[in-house]
Amino acid sequence: MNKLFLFFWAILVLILPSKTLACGGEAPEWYDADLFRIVPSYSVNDAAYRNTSLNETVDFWYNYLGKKVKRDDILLFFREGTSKDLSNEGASAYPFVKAVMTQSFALQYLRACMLLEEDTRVEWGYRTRCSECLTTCTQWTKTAQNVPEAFHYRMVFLKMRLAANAKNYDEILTLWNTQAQSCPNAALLARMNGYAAHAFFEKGEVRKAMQIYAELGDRFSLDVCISSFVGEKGIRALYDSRTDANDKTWYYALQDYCNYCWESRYSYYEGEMEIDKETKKDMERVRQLCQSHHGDAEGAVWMSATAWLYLCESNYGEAYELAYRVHETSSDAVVKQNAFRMMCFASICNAPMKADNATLTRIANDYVKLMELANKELPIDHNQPNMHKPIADLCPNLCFVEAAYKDKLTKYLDSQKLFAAHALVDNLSEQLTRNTWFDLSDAEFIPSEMEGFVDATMSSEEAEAFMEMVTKKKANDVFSQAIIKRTKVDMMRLTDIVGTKLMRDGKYGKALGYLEKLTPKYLKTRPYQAYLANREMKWNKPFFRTQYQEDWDNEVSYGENYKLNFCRDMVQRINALPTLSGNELAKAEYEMAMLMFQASNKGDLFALSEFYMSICDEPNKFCDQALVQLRNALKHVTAESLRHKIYYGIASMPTSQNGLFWDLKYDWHDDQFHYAFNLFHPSRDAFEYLARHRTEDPVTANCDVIKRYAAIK
Amino acid sequence: MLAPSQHNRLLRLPTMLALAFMLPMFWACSKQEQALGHASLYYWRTTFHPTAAERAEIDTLSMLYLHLFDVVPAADEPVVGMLPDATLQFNDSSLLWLQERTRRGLKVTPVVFLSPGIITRHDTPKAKTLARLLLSRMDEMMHQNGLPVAQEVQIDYDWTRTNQAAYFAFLQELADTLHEAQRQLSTTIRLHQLSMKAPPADRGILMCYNTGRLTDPNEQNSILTKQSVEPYVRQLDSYELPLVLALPRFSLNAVFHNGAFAFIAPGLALSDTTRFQRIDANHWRSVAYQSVPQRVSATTQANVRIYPGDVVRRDESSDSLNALVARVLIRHRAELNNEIIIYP
Repeated sequence: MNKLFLFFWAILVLILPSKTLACGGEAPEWYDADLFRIVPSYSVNDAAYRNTSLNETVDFWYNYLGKKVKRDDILLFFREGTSKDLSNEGASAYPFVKAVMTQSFALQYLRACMLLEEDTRVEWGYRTRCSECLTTCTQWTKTAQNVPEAFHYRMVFLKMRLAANAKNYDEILTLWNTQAQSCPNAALLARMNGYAAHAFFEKGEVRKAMQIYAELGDRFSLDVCISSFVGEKGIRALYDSRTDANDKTWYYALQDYCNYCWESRYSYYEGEMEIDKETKKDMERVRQLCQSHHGDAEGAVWMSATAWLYLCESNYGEAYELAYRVHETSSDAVVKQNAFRMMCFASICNAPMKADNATLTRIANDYVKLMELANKELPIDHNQPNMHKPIADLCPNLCFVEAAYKDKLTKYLDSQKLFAAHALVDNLSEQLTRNTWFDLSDAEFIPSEMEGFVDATMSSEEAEAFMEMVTKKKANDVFSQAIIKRTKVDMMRLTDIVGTKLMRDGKYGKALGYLEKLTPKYLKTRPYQAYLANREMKWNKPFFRTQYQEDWDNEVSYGENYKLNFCRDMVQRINALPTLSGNELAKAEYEMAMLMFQASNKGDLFALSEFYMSICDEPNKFCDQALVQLRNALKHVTAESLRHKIYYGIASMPTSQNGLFWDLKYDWHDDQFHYAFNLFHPSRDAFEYLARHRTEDPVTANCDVIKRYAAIK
Repeated sequence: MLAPSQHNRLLRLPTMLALAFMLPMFWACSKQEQALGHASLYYWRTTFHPTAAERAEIDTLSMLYLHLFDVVPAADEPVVGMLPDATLQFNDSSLLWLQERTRRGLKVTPVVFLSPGIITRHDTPKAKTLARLLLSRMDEMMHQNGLPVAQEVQIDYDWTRTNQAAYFAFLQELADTLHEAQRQLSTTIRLHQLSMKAPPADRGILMCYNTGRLTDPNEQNSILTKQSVEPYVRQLDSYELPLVLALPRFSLNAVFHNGAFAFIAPGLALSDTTRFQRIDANHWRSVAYQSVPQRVSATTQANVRIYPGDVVRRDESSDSLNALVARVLIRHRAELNNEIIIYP
């Protein structure tokens, strides 16, 4: 089984064409995943920010009102209430308002906050900027007397928000410098710090902004700031200009740089698969910088970066040694976890080609442990990815490529091969859920990763072997076993793919075994079923596609197994052929050719043989098979009328190798369509025949292509 | 969090506004057979603050198509699960200017863009509510900003066969409400939709831009090519909806990393040879690491990286191609000559 699996990978890796990748469109998830992570960073999205702010606000009012109003009641008001509800009428609807109504200052403060909030809230109701309201708010905050102690910092925060609204960054910084920083409420202080960082950024003081963002762990904002500190110079500038030992801005620059180097491995153009020379030089400078700090108090961070840079250059031995040292010595959980991932990665990639069982077992154990972490570790924050997962996904693919082909592929990290290997394992089960950009029902029309890879890159035999492997979930060695176990596949869908591939290859009998397993429940979910249900499966259809108005009811589902019916019909027809001869045989072959054409991606029943279809696609194998049948029929035919029809079929049949004999080109200048003929096309004999006999049949007599060809002869 | 980005969708107003005037000039002198119809303009940014040149251009028009907002998915929105986004902000002085122009006769057609895939095939029951919310917000925006009630509203959405029924139900609701007040509905039609059933609207805006495959590294020009329009020319003859032609006047930079599309990068200095090396007429290779700001949500931006080796494809619209496409399409469908909308 192991050999089979490796063979499969070999086939996959070697044959995966760039065409598939080009059609793949957008990069996989890990393209954006920063795999090297030495600082926990939060991507504060709007929803997360809103929740944090809301909780802080509810907490404040809950405590301020002496815990007499339920948290849920306070939350209800902040979720649904408006400034208009801050009245006696509102008090009847919201217990919270009733409690606040008796407190003059609190009520005014709350109204100001609500007005400011409503000014920026997105909702279906449209509000223009409430300039007057905001002016009133601003005036009130400036002149408010007897501010209760509990509201002191909240008033500072409110003023900062109003200043931000007015883009008055000086005002924000004055408030921050003189009052905000002594705020004892950590959650409120963090929010005020965010406004201060923004003000620093807007005023060009990026370094100061970064420092605050780093303390807040605001990754998105740091990402924007970090573009001012790129490469060795940027890291050095941040590190050397530290005035505070707790300033971790350089961590982010270092982390960003390491991730940049990782992705640089995959940058290429016109066959160049190596890291760009300039990048390499800069990497060397950064490594030297890191190495010069290995003995520092923060040596573990520098060593982590050095280890990662070794990984980027495929120097797994050095990388493992350093990662191991970091893992053993660092007390920082994030740095330690990062080191463990690097150890696993280096260990797996460094496995010898013919590893003994002990080595494979050790690697598998590391890998299994990594997978367990990938499954267990929860995101630190809403947008914080589980960093173990991408590495866990990446490891087996690298290992397979490395272990199996080290001696054959000197540049085994060919990005496309890696991409393919990774995409297959990673996306087998998750493809549809990722395509949230599309309507899910549309996503069913779009080739999933599995369909794309299995259907486009494997022969039907390889697809069968793949299916057997994932069905049995068995492999000979412990490492392969670990990978297969985590491979999740929609088996019904895979069965459909394998059966369809066999059918497309003309292996109808074998296809039946798979297609019979498709349940009506599954078929009712398939978008292609509607196309088949709204067409007739007839042998006597002409060799061109009918124009359909595809406006059937999308809600209707179809459980009929059309593919199975087609295969059974073809098996019967094939079985009957040996009993026939002469014209009867020719007629049977001609009918089969018609059905094959209709079942091809160029025919009306294209949904029999394709999961998705584009008019730009090359003719599929059914067209080639139809042509073979027509040529066979030509050998057996004696009746001239049938011969005429067979030649017509040959003339109409596009093939994967040669396309059509004729082409219709549109001329933009004279706004006319012109025929072009390929005189070296193997179907030319059919056109010669039809041109000579075109008047003998009404179809060919009126065919403008044949008429045109006859005219130029 | 950093300040909200002013970026708008993927498309940007080109710096060469002179093109705005070149197109009508080209039309006027290139063909003696037939002068092309009057031009209109989309205004598709998040702040209405036209420059002097843009104001001069708008002054020559009788119709302005004003993008008011997008509609995006919002799981926590309890009624329809969607919310407006990127709502147009009005600069005070520009708003006064626009109000004054509308008094002089400039018509403003509000446009709403529905984000891709937002309407699913299961959304038919939401159609009526969505139509009411959307129309009420459009009207309220026009009213609160002192603009006249629009005689026509326009919906921009790339529907597919699977969500067609739900989208058409939504359009039908919208059209019914508008018709009661003697108002009209228009909707955008992508070229590939010409082979599908026509939507229930009064007019279709035939989008002759973004016709290529942006993410395909082999694409010649994702904005418009002759080849991309060619297959659809014949379908114009029988399309069952009055059509208006919309043509492009913009450019974009598509960045490809590792042979796969990565993102669109506005404002790249492609002429900076320390950063980019020209490969051919519309491709550049990055030779240096650089960070590029990207909008990640309506209120947040983050940076993305361009690496050495990444390839940038510069897609640009062309006046001559626009004129050629317009001429050919008009030959097949004369009414397309009545009005041509420029998408800058």
